[in-house]
Amino acid sequence: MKGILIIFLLSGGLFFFAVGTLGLLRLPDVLGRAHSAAKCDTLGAVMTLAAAMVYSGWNATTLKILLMILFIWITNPTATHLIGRVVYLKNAKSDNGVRKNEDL
Amino acid sequence: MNQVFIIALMILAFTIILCTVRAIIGPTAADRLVAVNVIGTKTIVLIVLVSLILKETYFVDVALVYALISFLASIIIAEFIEGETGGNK
Amino acid sequence: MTRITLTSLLTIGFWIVLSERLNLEVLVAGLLLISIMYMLYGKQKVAIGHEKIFFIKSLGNYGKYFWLLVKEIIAANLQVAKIVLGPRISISPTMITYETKLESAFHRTVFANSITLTPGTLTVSLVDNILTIHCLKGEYGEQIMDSKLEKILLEIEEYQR
Repeated sequence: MKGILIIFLLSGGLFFFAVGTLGLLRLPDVLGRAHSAAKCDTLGAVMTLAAAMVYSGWNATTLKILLMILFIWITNPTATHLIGRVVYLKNAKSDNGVRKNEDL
Repeated sequence: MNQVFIIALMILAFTIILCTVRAIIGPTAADRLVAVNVIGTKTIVLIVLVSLILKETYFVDVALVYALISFLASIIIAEFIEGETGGNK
Repeated sequence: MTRITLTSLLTIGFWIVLSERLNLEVLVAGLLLISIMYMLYGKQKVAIGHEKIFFIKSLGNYGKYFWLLVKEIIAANLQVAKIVLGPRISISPTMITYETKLESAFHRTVFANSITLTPGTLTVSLVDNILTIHCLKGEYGEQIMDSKLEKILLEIEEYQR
């Protein structure tokens, strides 16, 4: 029973990780890539770490992994938001005709 | 159960390599930053799975600290790019 | 609950989870470290609970919000999978602006991060109460206009006033 649950969560998480990576490679522009990275990474990491929690059982390690899940849940959208803001400000700037350091 | 985790590790490592491709070819700095952020999240999961395979639970602490630091790195590099392109501070 | 009790409860919980056991030495060392941390960072407004949060009273509403968010995240992932795994990628990105009625900074941040996790939308900028949202297709932006998530947060704010 426990094994079936672990395999289900692990394969789901790995599927979403793979979808996120494929989106990162296939989508045409930066903000589209950020879409796929933000969503698939959050759910993939949460599902895979939940599988690890189920495997390790009731102990302190489980609590630490739970802490990690909460942390990823908060920080992943925030980091993506900051990257999106950089791209947005850059586009707004280049529309005004000011362009510099296009490639870093 | 160990075999299952090892297969999962192999798939995870393969997706990390594909992300590295985007980090290398990505035309702008923001592309690379998105790819590096994704690689950071996958590395956390990788460390946790390795700690379960080896039954060394102190690796989980390493993963926790890695989560904290990779978030900081993403934020600081984003701020850096924003300063480079002349965004309003 | 005031700010200092909430912050110290959170930090001491974090310390106990990290040290994996609970005895007198661990507790004394943790309290010492927390007081040093509070002296260093207490004046800056980085801590949670800067505004009054009646957390316990609106716990049910937060639970409802969390459950709705989980469902939205799963829907968002399936939608991304549908776009990415299709033979041709058909997207038409648009930018929309949305004026939120939420008042506290904490709830605005939670709402902006939730928008990033709902299907087809990504918060790009948050200045005062104006959100700039990037949508993969125009139709996803219209879902934001009457989102249930904002209604729940508005209910919580109404309750706390």
